[in-house]
Amino acid sequence: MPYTFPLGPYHPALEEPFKVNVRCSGEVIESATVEVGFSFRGIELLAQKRNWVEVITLIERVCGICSNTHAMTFCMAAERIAGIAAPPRAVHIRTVIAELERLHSHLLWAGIGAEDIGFHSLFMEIFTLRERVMDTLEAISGNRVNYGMNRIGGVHRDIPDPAAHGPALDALERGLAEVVVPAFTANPTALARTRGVGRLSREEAVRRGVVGPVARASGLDMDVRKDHPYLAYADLGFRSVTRTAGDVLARVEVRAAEMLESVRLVRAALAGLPPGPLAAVEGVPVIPPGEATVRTEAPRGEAFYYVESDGGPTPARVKIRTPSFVNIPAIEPMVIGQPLADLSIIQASVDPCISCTDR
Amino acid sequence: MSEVWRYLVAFAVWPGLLGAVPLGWLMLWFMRKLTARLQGRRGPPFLQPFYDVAKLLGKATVVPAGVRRGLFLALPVVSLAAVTAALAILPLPGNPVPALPGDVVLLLYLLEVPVLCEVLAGYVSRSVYGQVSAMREALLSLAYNLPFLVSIIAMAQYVGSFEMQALQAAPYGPVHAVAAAAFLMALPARLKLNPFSIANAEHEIVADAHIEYGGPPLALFKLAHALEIVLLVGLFAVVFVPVTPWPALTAVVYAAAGVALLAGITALAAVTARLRLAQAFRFYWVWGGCASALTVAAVLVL
Amino acid sequence: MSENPTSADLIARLTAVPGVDSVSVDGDALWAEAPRLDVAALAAAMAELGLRFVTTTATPLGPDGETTVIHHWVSEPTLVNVRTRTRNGRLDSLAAAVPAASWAEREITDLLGVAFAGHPDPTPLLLPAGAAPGLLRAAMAEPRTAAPAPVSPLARP
Repeated sequence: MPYTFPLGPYHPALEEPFKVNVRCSGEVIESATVEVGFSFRGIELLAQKRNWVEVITLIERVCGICSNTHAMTFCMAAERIAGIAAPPRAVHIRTVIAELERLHSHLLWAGIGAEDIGFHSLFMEIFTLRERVMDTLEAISGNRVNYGMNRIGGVHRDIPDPAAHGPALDALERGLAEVVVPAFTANPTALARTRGVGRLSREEAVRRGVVGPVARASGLDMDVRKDHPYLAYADLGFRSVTRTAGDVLARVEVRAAEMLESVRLVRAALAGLPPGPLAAVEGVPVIPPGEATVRTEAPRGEAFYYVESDGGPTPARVKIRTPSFVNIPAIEPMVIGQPLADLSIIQASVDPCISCTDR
Repeated sequence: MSEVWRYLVAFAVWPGLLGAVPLGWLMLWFMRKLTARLQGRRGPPFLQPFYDVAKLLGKATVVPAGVRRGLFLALPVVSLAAVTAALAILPLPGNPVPALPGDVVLLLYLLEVPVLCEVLAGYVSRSVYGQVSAMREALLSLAYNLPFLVSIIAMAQYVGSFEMQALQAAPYGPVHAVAAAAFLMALPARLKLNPFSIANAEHEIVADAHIEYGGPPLALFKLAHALEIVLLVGLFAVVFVPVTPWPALTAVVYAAAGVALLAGITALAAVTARLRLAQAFRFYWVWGGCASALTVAAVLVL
Repeated sequence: MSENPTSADLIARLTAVPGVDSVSVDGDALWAEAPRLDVAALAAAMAELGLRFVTTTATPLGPDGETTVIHHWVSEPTLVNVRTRTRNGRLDSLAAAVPAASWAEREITDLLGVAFAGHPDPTPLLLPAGAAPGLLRAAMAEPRTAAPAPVSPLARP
């Protein structure tokens, strides 16, 4: 007899409130619907009620995991309207923070993925490793979550001693190569839970417009860092990672390879940190009338910002399209026909960020 | 001491409640501590399993609306009583109960009672999570009972008696090793440990079949689970570990075997992910079936 | 999507879409002004070119008036922005042809009350079922006053 099984809005497998309602017969999922809106805060409206500097603080709180992406993308949009070019040192520091953020986001995801397949030990290992990234971010910015690094025209804080972060990066690379990657790709029980699970075909990925690691695991070679290089990615020689299987294992592999690439990018950006000022402008900037669309590659995929200014003290419109907003609907085709036991790991494999989606 | 008193002492003191409950807590603590150390954590304090039960006993009993109160509250009591009764007839060193003809069969039946109670608890809870868990538990028991029952029944066949003490006293031979392998295969699933923690997969179905239970009834279920660990470890020791003529030495040997067994399944649980129900089923029917066939063949040939 | 259309291709194809008045280039972005856009023709043209839908931005022009709607597409590395506007608070749905647009349009209905004609799943996305659409419309359309200087909520007068 078919029955309805709600995963969420509050469930041990979820970091944030959202709901996947599935209809099952036996252990097999027949249909699924995703419900969001449980942490809606109206940030796009609030952004019209704050001045251009306060908005950065607000926007940074769109998401607790990819906070830097949001603040940085918003600043890039404002800079574009005002015709400000951030100095090279600021661009490199932004790259370092963005890649460290990707590392901690992917590690967080990997830990939760491990927990969702019941691999508690791996979760512990990964979160120990993630602490190294958090410590590095704290050493640079003074904060563990909302880094407060970005300002319009540059960054707030310098990285005075780039070489000091080398040992943490070495430990991270070792941990990734010796623990995380083998545990996901060689442990038979972990493989049994991820291989062939939650397939998203390339056609469906195109149809749904998914972005980021989910799209790259389905064979779509799209990454804003490669397609439309921003920050220092063109100089650092970014290499994108794709897989064609489209299952949970492919998403794991894509993120694992991306973490190693991120470590390389952070190293390269720190090694080649150019001298110079941290910001192009001082004080509260005046943003002339205009509009801009900016895309960056957040840990979960392409983040899109549309910012409009009418020359006033506040933005006239800030539209935020987070990667999870297009990736979460793709959970529906992924889970149909799959066992109920895999619902947790499949929904986790798109790395759904709910506060991003609801804003 | 009269027969009745012997049974009462065995049920209430040793190897029953008074003795086995602290022993079960010790085993739980050992498994949790070992898991924590393997994962680089500090782990719980020594008395944590006791604190857990004490805390639950101090809470109010809540019966979900629309659930028959008597049945709901009887299930944990029956579960605990069955496990304790099974312990009472297990010929551990110091057990005052005399040999009982056919107690192997009684023991096997009593071993199924907690599983049945768990399944019923899930089904009567009116929670979809509890019902899914109950379904998983019921299906999984069909799978792991193949090697489990075969290993014990084959031993009885080998010894030619359905008496626990005869099984315990049987001369050690290669059949013991083959049957022990089949028994060990079933053990993680019986104890709901990884990679077979399928019925209590909190990240898939929130909790186990006792999802609607809280307070003292849940404490009884937890106690029954602790005693089940003692019972299964004890059963393994009695059937598959060589007995010595000196009860004190036997106790030491059994304790050492128990530590090794618990350490082994804990380490296995720490290095594995949770399998799906279908995968676990296939594992038990294919590999468990092979082990069972091998055990039966060994009994018939040797 | 192996080879992306050139900028000239994009402009030519966009100009041919019924309702598009003008197309301008701003750096890596194309802006098409199409107050009377034929949404179905746009969807067909974009599908033909193999463009990926990004999202839809809506900005209210007044508390009860019309809404500016911008459909964003991407043809690496160019962003294609097609600006249109509602008529009587309504606009043809893009989601019928582009499934990726479904959530974006549902969100706009929830927050700004724009009705998308022909949407395959016109249920609320962020709001609870049965809630009145247009939650933020009045607040968003208010004239924006100069924001006061930042004041700590803990500060005493």
